[in-house]
Amino acid sequence: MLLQTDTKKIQSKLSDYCRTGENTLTTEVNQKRVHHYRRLVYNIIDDILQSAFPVFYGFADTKLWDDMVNTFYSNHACSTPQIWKLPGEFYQYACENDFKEKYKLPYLEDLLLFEWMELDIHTMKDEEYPAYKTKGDWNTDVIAINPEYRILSVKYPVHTTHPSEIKTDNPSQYFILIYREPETGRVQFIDISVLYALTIEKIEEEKSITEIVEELQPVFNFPDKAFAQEQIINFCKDLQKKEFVLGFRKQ
Amino acid sequence: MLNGKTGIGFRKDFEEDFLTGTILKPYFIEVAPENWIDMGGYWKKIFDKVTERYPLTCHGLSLSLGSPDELDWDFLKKLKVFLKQYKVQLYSEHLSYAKCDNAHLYDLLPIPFREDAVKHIIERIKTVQDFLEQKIAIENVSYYTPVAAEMEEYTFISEIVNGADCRLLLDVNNVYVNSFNHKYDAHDFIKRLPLDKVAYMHMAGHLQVEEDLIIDTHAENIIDPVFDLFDYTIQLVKPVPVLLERDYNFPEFEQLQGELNRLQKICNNAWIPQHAAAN
Repeated sequence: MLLQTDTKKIQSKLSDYCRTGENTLTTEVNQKRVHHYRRLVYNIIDDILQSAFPVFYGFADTKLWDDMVNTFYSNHACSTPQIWKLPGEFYQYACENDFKEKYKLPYLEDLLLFEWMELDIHTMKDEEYPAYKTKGDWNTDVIAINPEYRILSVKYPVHTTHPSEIKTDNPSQYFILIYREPETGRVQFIDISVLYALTIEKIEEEKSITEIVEELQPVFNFPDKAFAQEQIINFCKDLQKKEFVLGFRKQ
Repeated sequence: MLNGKTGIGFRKDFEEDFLTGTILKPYFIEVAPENWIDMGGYWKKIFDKVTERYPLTCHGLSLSLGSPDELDWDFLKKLKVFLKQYKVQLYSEHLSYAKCDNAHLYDLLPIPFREDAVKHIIERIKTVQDFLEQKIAIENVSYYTPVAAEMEEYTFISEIVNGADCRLLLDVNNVYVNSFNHKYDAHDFIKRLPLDKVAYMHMAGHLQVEEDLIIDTHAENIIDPVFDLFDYTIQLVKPVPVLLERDYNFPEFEQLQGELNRLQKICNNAWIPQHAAAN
């Protein structure tokens, strides 16, 4: 290391000040002007997080929001060199440091996850699509699905209900299919049942719908397996119209 | 060949006009690779279309050449792939630091103008150039306070550019901003730089926020004194690509194209006779 300890320390003090707002620099800088660095750096972080979490930002009061951003930026060493990935680190930090408890917002993690996933799916690297045909047997062929998706499991209905109206006394379980349309790149989300969430998981394992119904029978104890199969096929046909199901895998 | 030509930073806000090209007509575009590496979906498709239409230069934000931290090799590997994939011949970075104590800051902090920093940065630039298998250009940055400086800014820049045998991205607006903020003569400053190493130039607008302080915002129109300084500067350097930086507070595209036209006219007046003489 060619850099002297003293120079390194000064650089560290300036970057610390930008992150925390606590100025330990003295004569090394122009005190009348150095605050501009803290202001400019903080605004960059604040702007990127505001645009990544518009629903929560719109709902949270300024004091709460500023406290969260400050806590995050002061204490977390941002690791990505690509700032558009930073909201993912904010979400992780909020989970690891129990923001939902600290700020008395039980649905916070779910909401941040949902908003981050919308952005993440929109920008995620292009995945390789499976080879597929448009015609096939819905019962016995393996369904081909759009690979650019996630299934989120949340306790609060953050995808359908504004945070101001979420009832926090009765958490449940919700599954959200969130995916990117192949042509437009638009992100869509669909509220799905646990049955359909497991169906998609099984399709990913290259099971046909007939096989899926057999495998899920012990879990759901379908009173009428043929009817269950028909329902799943209808679900898949609907997802085909919505550009999530592509067709049938070529063997 | 982009020398003597003017370009503009590609912004998502300009997407449609870049693709239809009805108003904005840059010769080339510039992007920060950090904003596009790993990007998929809609914006990847747009980016691919835009880069088919325009030559591309890259201006990095996160390499943090002046940082006390180790170089980020994972990022450098991705960067190398990206530069090759999009056939980027001109890659530049800032003479500043944007990461310290393993934390990214996402802005450009001023480096102490000191001999040890010079040596440190020279080694880092050499390492980066060896790895990328191409010379890079480093930009003189604007700064609002000197930080424990022990030498003049022009000496700091010159020693690094010469010692690392890299190129210089001369940001004329930054020289203007710094000369105003730190009360020195901009023309004299420019003459003291290693002008034979200039490979790229940037121009931008700024904002005066206090009586004695200008912030380099990239959000305003270029003012006449900066155009004048640009005119002065390009008489002293060989033809290079010139970029208009506009990142926020976008005016009508006609206004932006007007700035590009004005820059191009200054370039043509200064450089076209040189081409003719050389031919």
